[in-house]
Amino acid sequence: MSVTAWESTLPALPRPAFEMHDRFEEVIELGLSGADYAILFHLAARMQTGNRVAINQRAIAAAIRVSPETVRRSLSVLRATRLLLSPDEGLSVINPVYLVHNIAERSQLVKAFGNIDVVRGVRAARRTRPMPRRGHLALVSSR
Amino acid sequence: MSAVPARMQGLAIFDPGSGEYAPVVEIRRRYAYPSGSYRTFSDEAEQLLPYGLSGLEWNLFVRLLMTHSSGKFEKVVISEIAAKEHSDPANVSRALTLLVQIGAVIKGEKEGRSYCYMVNPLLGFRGPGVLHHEVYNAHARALADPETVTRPRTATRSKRKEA
Repeated sequence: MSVTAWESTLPALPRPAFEMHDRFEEVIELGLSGADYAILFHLAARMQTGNRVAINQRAIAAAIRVSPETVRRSLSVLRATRLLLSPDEGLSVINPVYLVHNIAERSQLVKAFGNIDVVRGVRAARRTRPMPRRGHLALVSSR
Repeated sequence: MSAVPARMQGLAIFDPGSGEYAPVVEIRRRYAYPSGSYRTFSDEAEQLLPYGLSGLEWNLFVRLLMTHSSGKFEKVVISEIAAKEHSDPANVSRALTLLVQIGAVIKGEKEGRSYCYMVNPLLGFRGPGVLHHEVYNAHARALADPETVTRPRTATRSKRKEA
C-alpha cells in the first residue's frame, strides 16, 4: 500500500472553525463569563464570509445547553463589549479585529468596519418575579 | 468533580490505572490549511461548549492557546496566571485540573516547581498551518509509546488527609 493510500484511510485533522488575532488578549481582560465565551465561540464557529452570522437564540440555547434567558443576557454583554456588532438590518457581524472567519480577509474587514476596540460591558440585570401589589393583602385581611 | 459527559468521551478516555482521563490519540491525515501563522479553534473544539466551563476556565484555555507554541509542553506558573487573572492560585489550579481531565489541555512533566502543559492540538492550534498535522501526529506517536507518556500525578486530597 502506498503512503498516499495509507494516509487516505486516516481520519482527517479537524477543520479550522475560526482564527484569532493576537489582540484577543484584550478580550481575556474583559472578564467574560463562561456563557459569554461559549456563545461567542458558538457564533464564531458559524461565521460566514465577511464575519456575518445569523443569531437564533433558541438554537444557541439548545446547542450550548443554557437557558434562553442566559443567551439573551450574554448576547447583550457581547454587544455592549463590541465583540458582536448588530446592525439595524441584516446579519450580525463578529468584530473582525479579534476573530475572523478567514485570516486573509482580516485587513479588508477591519478597513470596512473600522478598528473597533472592545470595552468593558455591563451585564444586564436579572429579570425579577413581579411582586404583588402593595395593599392587596391588606385589603383582603381587613374584611 | 463532575463526570465527563457523553459528548466529551471522544476527546478523553478514562484510564482506570491512573484514575485520570487521558486524551485519545490517533494519527490524523493532513488538512489543507491556508498558508500563514495563526491561532485557530478547530471545529472539534465546539464539543467544549456544552460542558459549561466557567469564565476562568475559558480564560485559561484561551491564554494557553495564545501564549504557548503548539506541540510543545511549556511551563505554567500558576501564581503568575493567578496574578494576571486577579484570582486565587487554588482556583487557577482547579480550573487547570478540569481542563486536563476533559482533555482540552495535556499535562506534561514537572519542571522545577511547576508542571508543563500543552493545549490539545486537536482543539486549538497556534503556528503555521502547514505544521498542524506534523505537530498533532508527533504528539500522537509520543503518547502511543508508553515510555514517553507522562501520567499526571495521582495524589488526591483524600490521600493527603489519610497521611
